[in-house]
This record gives sequence, C-alpha cells and structure tokens, in this order.
Amino acid sequence: MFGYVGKILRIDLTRGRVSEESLKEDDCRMLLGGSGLATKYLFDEVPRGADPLGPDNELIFMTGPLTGTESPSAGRYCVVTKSPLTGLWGEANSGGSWGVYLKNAGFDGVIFTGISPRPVYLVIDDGKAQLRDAEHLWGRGVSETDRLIKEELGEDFNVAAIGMAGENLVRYAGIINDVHRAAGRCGVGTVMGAKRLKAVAAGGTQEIKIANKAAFSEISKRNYDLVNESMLKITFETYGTAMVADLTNVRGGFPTRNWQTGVFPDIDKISGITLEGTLLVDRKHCYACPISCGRVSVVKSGPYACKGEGPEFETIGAFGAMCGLENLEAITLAHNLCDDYGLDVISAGSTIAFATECYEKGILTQADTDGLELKFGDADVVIQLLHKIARREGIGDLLAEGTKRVAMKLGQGTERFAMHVKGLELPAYDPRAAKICGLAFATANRGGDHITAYVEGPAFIDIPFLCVEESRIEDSLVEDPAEAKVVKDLEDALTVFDCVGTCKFMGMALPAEDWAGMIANCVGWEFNVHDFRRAGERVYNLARAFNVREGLTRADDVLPRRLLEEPLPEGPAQGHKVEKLDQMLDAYYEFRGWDKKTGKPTPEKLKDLDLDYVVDKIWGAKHG
Amino acid sequence: MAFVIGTQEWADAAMRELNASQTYREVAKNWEGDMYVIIEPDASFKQRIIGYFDLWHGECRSACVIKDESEKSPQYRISGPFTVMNQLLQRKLDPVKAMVTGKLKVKGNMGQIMRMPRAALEFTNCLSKVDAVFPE
Repeated sequence: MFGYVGKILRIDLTRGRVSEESLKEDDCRMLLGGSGLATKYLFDEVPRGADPLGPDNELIFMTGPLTGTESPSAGRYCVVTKSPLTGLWGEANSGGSWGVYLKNAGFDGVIFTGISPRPVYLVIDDGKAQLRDAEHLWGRGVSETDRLIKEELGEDFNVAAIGMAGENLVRYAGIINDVHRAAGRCGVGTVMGAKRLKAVAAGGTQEIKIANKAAFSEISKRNYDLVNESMLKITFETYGTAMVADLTNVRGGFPTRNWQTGVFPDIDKISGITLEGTLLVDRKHCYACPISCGRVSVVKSGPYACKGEGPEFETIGAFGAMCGLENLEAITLAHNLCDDYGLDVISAGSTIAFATECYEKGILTQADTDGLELKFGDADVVIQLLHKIARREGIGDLLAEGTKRVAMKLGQGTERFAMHVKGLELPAYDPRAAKICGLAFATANRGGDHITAYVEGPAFIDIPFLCVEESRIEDSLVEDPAEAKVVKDLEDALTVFDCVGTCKFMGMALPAEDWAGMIANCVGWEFNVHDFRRAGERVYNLARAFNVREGLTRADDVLPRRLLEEPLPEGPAQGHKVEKLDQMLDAYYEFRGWDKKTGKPTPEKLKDLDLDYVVDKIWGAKHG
Repeated sequence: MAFVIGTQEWADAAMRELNASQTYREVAKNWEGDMYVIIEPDASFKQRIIGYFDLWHGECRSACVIKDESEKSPQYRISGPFTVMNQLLQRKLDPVKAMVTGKLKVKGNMGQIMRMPRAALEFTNCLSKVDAVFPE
C-alpha cells in the first residue's frame, strides 16, 4: 500500500500484550485513514454503553496517508475514543510531528484496550513495540515526562503523554505531544489516564512510500508555495491564531464573563497584536507547514513567569474574555500550565468561568471553594483553580468534572448558563453574533465544537474555505435555513483533513481538487473531488451512527439556554439571540438525508454511503 | 502638489502610481476584478468618498470617483472609517493589522484575496504613495 505503512499495533493493557495486524485496503479506500479508520474500529469494537473509563473502551491513535509526506501541513494524527465528557464519539487532533514519528516507527496507528494494572508507557522503536514501566513518570508533568523518556531512549523519539490531569481522571484531560501540541478535546487524556498509560514514544527510520512520487512532489510543492503566498500565511504567521480575538470581539461575539456579553472591553490588552508586540519571542510551525501559527512566548518575571508556547486564540478566549482576565501574562501562564498538566484549555477555562458566575450568583460560596473568592478578572484565583483542577484538590475535584456535571450537581437553574453542548464546553465564538455557528455547535459529532465545521471562519472573520463549493455566509445575523448546507458541506470536507492527516487550515487556501489530486498521487488509486466529498460524508455519518447507537437523538442537538433566551446586551449584535434552531436543524437534516424526527441517518443514506452494515445497528434488523 | 482625496485628479494620480509600480504589476499579474475604496464618515470627517479602480492583470485600466455607490457593481469593496483610512494612506497603519483587527472591511471574492493577498496589499501601498490630502 502506498501512503500507508500498512500496519496497526494492538495493545492489550490488561494483559500487557502487544500484537500487530495489517491494515485492510478496503477500509482505507472507504474511510481514508486517521479519524475515519479510527471511527470504524471504535464503532465495530466498542460495545454500546461501554464505560468510557472502563476496559472495554478503546483509545485509538491514528495517522492518515498524507501524514509525514511532502503535502503541506501533513504532521497530524488523531485520537478517537468514547468520550468521558460526552459519553459519545470523542475525537481530538494534534499537529507537531508525533504522527510523523509514528509512521516512521512503522505503524499507521495504535489501538489500546483494557486497563494496565500499573502505570506503563509504550515504546515503538523502528517496527518493534514494547510496554515499559512508568511508575517513575507517574505524577510528573508533560515536559518532565518528555525529558525523562528522551533520557532513556534518546532524542530520536517523539513523545505523546498525559500530565497529572489525565492521571487524576479530570474529564477534560488531553494528550500532549512535542511538549506543547495538544490533542486536547473530549477527554482523550482522561481515557489514557484510566488505562494507566502515561505516554507513547515513537521513533524510527521507515520510509513512507508514495505511489506517483514525482507527480506527488510536484503538486505538493506547488500547493505549499500557494499556501506560502496566501493571506492565511501573512496573517496567521504574523499574529497567530490569537488575532481571531480581535475579529470576534469587533463583531460583538467574543464570549465574555461566561457568555454574559460578547464584547470584551480590554481586548487591546490580550489580542494577537499585543502578544506579538510583548511576550512573543519566536514563531513555530508544525511538520511541513508553511504557516507557523505557533507562538513561543516568555513572561520573564513576576507571578506569572513562564516560558513555552501559546497562547492560542482559544486560550485567550477561555481564560481571557470568558474568565474576564485582561492580563496576557496570566493567560500565557494558564496556557503553559494546561500544556504541562495536560488539560484542554477550552474546557478548563470555560468551567472556571461557569463556576465564577455560580459564585457571583451565590450558588457557590467560600465554603465550597476552599475559601477562594471567585471573581471575574482575578488572575490569581484562576491560576489557583487550574492547579486544584489538575490535582482534583478541594473545589478542583468538582470542577474537574466539567461544566455539565457541575451544573447537574449544583442545580438551582445553573443549567441555563452552563455553556456546553452534549457535555463539551463551547469555544470562543458566540452564535448570537454569527447565528450559523449555533447550528454547527448543536450538531457537531463531538459536542460543542468549532473546528468540526469551522463555519466561524466565513461567518465571523470572512475567511472562505476553498475546499467546499460555497462557504459564504451572506449575513451573519440572519438565520437562513439554506445556509445549513454550508455547515454540512464544511463538516464533510473538513472531516477529510482529519482522515488524511493534514491541518484544516489548509482547507481555506486550497480547493478540494488540489487535495483530491494529492491524495490520488499519494495512495495510487483513483480519487477525485466526488470521492473526496463522499469519503468525508461517509465518515461523518459513521461517527453520527456511533452516537445514535449510544442513545443520541435530535433532542441532544441543542444549545445552552443562554444562547436561545438571553439576547446579547451590547455591541454590534446587541439584542440578538439564536431564534430558529429548530428550522435550521430541519434544513440541516434534510441536506444530510437524516430522519427529521429522530436525527438518525436514514437507512437509505447509510446504504448510499456504502455503510449498509451500520443500518441494523441503529435501526434494528428489519431495516438491514 | 498634494491631490485632494475624492477628486478625479486624485483618482488619476492613484492610477498612475499603480501603473508605474513594477511590484504591483508582478504581484497582481493574475488579479481580475474592479474595486471600490470607500472612506466612511466618522466623528472627524463627515464626507463619504468612493474611489473606483478597474484592476486587471497587474494594470489599472481606469479610475474615477463615484458619487452614488450603486453606479457600479465592482467585485471588491475595501472600506473603513476616515480615521482608519487616513492612517492607512499616511502609512501609519499596516493594512494587515487593520484587517485582522476588523478596522478595515474587505468584501468580494475572498478566495482570490486569500490566494493573492499581496496584490491587495500592494494596491493599498500604491494608494498611500500618492501625495494627497483630505478635503477641508
């Protein structure tokens, strides 16, 4: 097989067994790789109702056929599991270069099952895999773990690890590779912690074979150069993803103080431009990426002194505006702590913001918070809460459960301002200021998520996605059911990026034709734009089918009540709330070919996508 | 002699600047599409000024000042309040910075701008080279 190594590792952590199996070419043709292949393993092998933190759940690391090739920004891998936050299909995706190391080590992916009786880490060394004792690593941060493993194995290995948050089963723990790149969302690090798996270190020299090497190189170089000349490069390299903070704020949709408003008055103190002019010391890129959106920042002295990467836009959103912090140094420290503890910045910052509003309303008191006074804008308290969450100390034990479960425990109407969808905390784009985003948050397979459709790009910041035929949103403040198709098309197209192992940002700058050409020349089979779109749709429906089998219905495709009931109080979107979610859902299901009443992919749609075997799993045998 | 922004003389001078620029000719060689540059009134300046530029493959084929926005249907519109446009034309504000802070609005085929941002940036640069003042 070209593009693929052709081998998967299986690790039974309960028994300490390591085995290999061949990749099935039919599956690759249908689902490409990465998220697509991993979702098939999850659907086929994890029983309905499995405990996300139990032995039956799988933790699947998977690369795609483009991972590690010359294709622009092809350093990505994904982790798929049943999420302990949502109880549904969980996926997280990361850049850097760990995915490349895994393929060079001789495997397309690794599937972990069971629970190890003691902490272990996996070493994959040029085609051979071995579980090693990790007692000495348990309790250590990500950077220290990375350092110690490299001391043992040498610098030719790349490490993906959990920090204390994963060990302590904080429900939104992530997995961190290259010390600072996060597979952050859905609690994939929590599952890793539950399995007592501290890290996966990979290194090797195995070459990735390309079907039409000369043509692939030529197209890849041309596309790399195109991205290198694009607006994406100019803006994101200069200011990082942090620049999006300005652009959402100016539209009145930058969630502030737990989404009580969409305008953060001190935006100039925390924006990408301020970061560039103050703390930034270098820029960093993922494997084969021309953009370099990564930030390297230093806070030289004071209470928030730190050195590391970030902060990214979502950190500035979650810890800045949502928590009311105007202190960029504190936000940068929060970002670095999340990296080292292995915490998802969005869920961590959002849960703290939610707790702060609960405190303001008298629902939480100092008796609950270990004597801390929770106030929006108090950087010291936010930092203290982060430490407590990662260690599950005091109030941190409650907040480690995530917004949904905290609201369920507190009651007293807190669910109205508990800002999550399906249990996953929301990213920093307020759908009341760009309404189409409400539909995208409500329907994303992994819960409240921006990057599934990334319709926030065209809706908030006027950035188009060339990978779909039409991504334009005419008027962000109007809910137009016809534009539900944009969400559907973006979800399908961007799913392909998670399958092949490249960055979704590339979908902005390069059309589907270019991607189809690169994929075809890489794997060596016929693959055109139609196949590109169909593969994305197939994988998207398979993930939805997993969720349906777990009990998801249309009733779960909802938004927090605050977004539906409370108009924004100020700014360009003043007076706006999400009003037509039901109509938007009807239109979306219609475009998707899903049953409007239940939200299930219809048997006809599943069969049309060659997912016949899924039909009886979610509709019963009579439809199969 | 400084040209008064919003006059035909200013539009002509801007066209000359664009057509004299080797850089613009090179980076905009694949650019297709005419453009409005709209200076919106704000607290410091009460007039609305619309400049029209017909841009094609690195050349400015015509330029004029428009009274009514509906006179033409250009493929692109760059607009911003007077204070921002004034800073831009005096080179006191970087156009990229103006865009990423939402101070400068760009409408049109964003795909082309995504692929050829240097054409748009050099266009702004050429305009800022014109010795020009705002009307009293």
